[in-house]
Amino acid sequence: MTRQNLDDEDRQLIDSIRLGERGLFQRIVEKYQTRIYNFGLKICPTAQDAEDMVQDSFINAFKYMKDFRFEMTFKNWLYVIASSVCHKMKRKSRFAPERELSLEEFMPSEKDRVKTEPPEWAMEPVDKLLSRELSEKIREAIAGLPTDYRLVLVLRDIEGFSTEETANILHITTANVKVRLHRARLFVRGTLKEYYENDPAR
Amino acid sequence: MRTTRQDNHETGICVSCFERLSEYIDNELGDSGCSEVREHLEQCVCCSACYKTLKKTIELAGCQEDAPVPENLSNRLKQILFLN
Ligand SMILES: [Zn+2]
Repeated sequence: MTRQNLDDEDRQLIDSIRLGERGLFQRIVEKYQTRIYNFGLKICPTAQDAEDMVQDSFINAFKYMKDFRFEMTFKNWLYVIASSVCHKMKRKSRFAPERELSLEEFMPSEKDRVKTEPPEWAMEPVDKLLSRELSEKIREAIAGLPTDYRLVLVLRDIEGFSTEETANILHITTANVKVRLHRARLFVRGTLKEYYENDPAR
Repeated sequence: MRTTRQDNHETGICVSCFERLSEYIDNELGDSGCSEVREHLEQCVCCSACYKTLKKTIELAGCQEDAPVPENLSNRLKQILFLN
């Protein structure tokens, strides 16, 4: 199904739910639970928190559906809700160090500047690189990001939203999305660099 | 010459390129910005290595497998209509 078809289907479902067919909400849940749950696994500190987040998000979506005006697609609106539930959880439990990342900390060091070739891993196809261990490393790196950066990276690079959609979901400017995304990516890149440099045989 | 490239780092051309790598990868730079970065990447091995590793990082991050929704969660979600 194309994106437009998916959005049209949502619109019909939502119209019917609002007209009283509450049972159709289950279709919405089935359609989006895997996406929202996996989003939660990347953003929340534990799998249990992710489960609670998913439940709260759908409860809120159901509750506030009457106020939803299609200013954005339903899917994007669901991510607005999920992101805000994540934010509230963050205030309750401080799981990742909340700090600002600066560009300077990721600038190439003098020793990097002497190298002439990009590392081998940068040249290999992804399917050749991907292993359970590497996936675990990437997950850890993302989990180590401050929440505001993690949200942007996950929405952009994993959930596939555009810069503008991400800005709307998080209620921040597109310039802010770009700044946070670049630093978050550099942060993850740093972890991967280290991973490969520590064991050149990888 | 390698020395000229080292000078570039100090004059800030590399810094300006480094700052814009994500926008370059995402095709979000205007025409002039985009060709500036592209030309610099052709000349500067250091920035070019940064670019390649960053691009690979983004690709790798985007390839994570989805976990299935646990059954107990999916059962909890079926109750939502009754919770409201
Ligand atoms: Zn350079």
